[in-house]
Amino acid sequence: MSKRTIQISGMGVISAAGVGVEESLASMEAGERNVGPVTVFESPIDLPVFEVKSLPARTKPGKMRTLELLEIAIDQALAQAGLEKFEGLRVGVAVGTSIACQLNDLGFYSTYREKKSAQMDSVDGFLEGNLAEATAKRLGLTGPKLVVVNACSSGTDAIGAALSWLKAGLCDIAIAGGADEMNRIPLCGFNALGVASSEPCKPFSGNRTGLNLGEGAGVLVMETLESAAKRGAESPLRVLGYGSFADAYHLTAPHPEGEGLVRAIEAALKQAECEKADVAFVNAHGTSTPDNDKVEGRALLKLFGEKVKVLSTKGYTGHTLGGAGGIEAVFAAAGLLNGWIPGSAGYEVLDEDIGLVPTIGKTAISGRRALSTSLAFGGNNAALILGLEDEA
Amino acid sequence: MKISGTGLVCTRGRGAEADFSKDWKEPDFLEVPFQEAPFPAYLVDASTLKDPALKGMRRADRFSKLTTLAAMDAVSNSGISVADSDRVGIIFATAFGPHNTTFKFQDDIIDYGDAGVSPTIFSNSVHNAAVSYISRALKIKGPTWTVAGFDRPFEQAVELAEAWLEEGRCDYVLLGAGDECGTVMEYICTQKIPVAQDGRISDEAYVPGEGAAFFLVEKGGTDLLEHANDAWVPIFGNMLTGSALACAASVLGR
Repeated sequence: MSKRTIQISGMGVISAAGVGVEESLASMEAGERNVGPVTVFESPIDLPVFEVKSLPARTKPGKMRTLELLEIAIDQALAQAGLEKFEGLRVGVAVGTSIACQLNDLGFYSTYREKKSAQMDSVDGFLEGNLAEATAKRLGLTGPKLVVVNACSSGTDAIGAALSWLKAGLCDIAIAGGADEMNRIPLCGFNALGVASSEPCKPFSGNRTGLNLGEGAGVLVMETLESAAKRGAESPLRVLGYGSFADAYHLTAPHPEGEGLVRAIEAALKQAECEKADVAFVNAHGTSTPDNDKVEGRALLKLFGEKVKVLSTKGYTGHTLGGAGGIEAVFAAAGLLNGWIPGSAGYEVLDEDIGLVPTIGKTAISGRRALSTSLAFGGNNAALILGLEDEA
Repeated sequence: MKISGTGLVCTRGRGAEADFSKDWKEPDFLEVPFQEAPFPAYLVDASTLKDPALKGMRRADRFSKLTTLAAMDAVSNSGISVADSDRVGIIFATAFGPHNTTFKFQDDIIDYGDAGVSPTIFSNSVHNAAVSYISRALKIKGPTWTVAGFDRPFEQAVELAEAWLEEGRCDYVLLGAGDECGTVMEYICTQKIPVAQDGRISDEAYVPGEGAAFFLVEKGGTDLLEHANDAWVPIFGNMLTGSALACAASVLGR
């Protein structure tokens, strides 16, 4: 296995918690929860969601909202990484999504059904909106490109793909993360599945009743130390390990013992050469559904014991589906860098069946490693170990 | 990469038993709404998808069934046991995924309202449903991925599979690609590309196709993609994931 060390040169994030890392952290530190009814489309389903309120008007008719969100996060991350021009650089792009890989445009489809023609704007937006291909085209990137569509683990998996590319020497820099928009199709779908809550979500709480959908994007600029040194762009943050394993159990439910998740965490720890005791905190998937939190909470307790600090940032962002892994990787990295993590918003009472108490209020952390986990519809599980550079 | 097993489901049949003659055969013709003439497409025959191995997939859609059959055949063709292995991964590439089910779910919303939709149709409409079925059918417990793209998606998947094998993430990768035809996407095709109404593919006119190909690959061997551009298009029809089917036909049709 390659010993190349991969740093995080830049981060970008946009969600209901804020635009940019700084604004997001400030809002989470203050305990703000920007949850409310759907406004970006009309639906009789009255469920709370976490929307991005500050998205600029579309730059092109039919352009996918997911791509708009992604571009904002990418531009933030590139600015922090000091990357403006890419000529002569080997840069890849890996993005996870759920919604942007499908023509989920009810306006187009209902017109198609009712009339004998339909405007092609949204079709064009879809065909030109493959997140990795559009990014590579916009920035003139010539490295590998990939859109990962593993449902809710897609963002974490995209970072895992970029890690593989960088370690294999396929590129020197990779833009990686996830993005998804608020969309009527998944709102209807998650409502039908009975996993969406009619109240603001309460990850790991004994009285949780389900998830709230959210939207946003989270992106890391990942880079080999050699490339960063050449550019004079060293950073203390690292992507150290990644694991991905399937439950091979059920289309929509996690394995009751979290079999695939445990394997994914153990593989990520192994690649990172990290002991369990070194993990300062876990930014958990924590969707607030009864099944997910029970399986994940129990697995984390079994692996790490009661002392590890666990939070779910979905209480601030909602479940952003394919975007979640990217957003949560950004928040985990920011936690390591700043020495604190926010309280796990929404938590109220202990679930005796799990026995896990997540962070309550702003929590100081000491340690140099963090774990971010994702469990997906379809049975894929992913885990990411992020770190601060080792002290000399 | 070394190809240890190959599976193929296409308009000409399944696996090595498929008809690989390069003689032109008339495509199927889909009745596309709002179009005066039926629309040519090389479809997978329903009889090809009848297999007792799929009996546990009663709720799965046609897309998941045709991809799962190709994946099962690749493993069977290899003679290698993958069951309960966390050293085997899956990477499946698609351009459009299960779009017929995606639109069926949208039919549900229009016909029955936002709150009246089927959770089963929604579950099967997501891109990675097919890989979830494959992982359960074959009990594969390594990374199980779906990737989506319009610019050589199979080649993107091959690149990732090579990286996984090189870094030791997996001993084997069940690597494949596929797409399906459907009336809505065909309607979109009529608006976007020149379609060969007579069913004869040329440099200027297309006939969409459907199918799936899988390979059980391991480290070593030759370049899987060396046959990606072999001229099998007249058999399969035009597909953005067609290079995978061309590779499979090159292996099976020798």
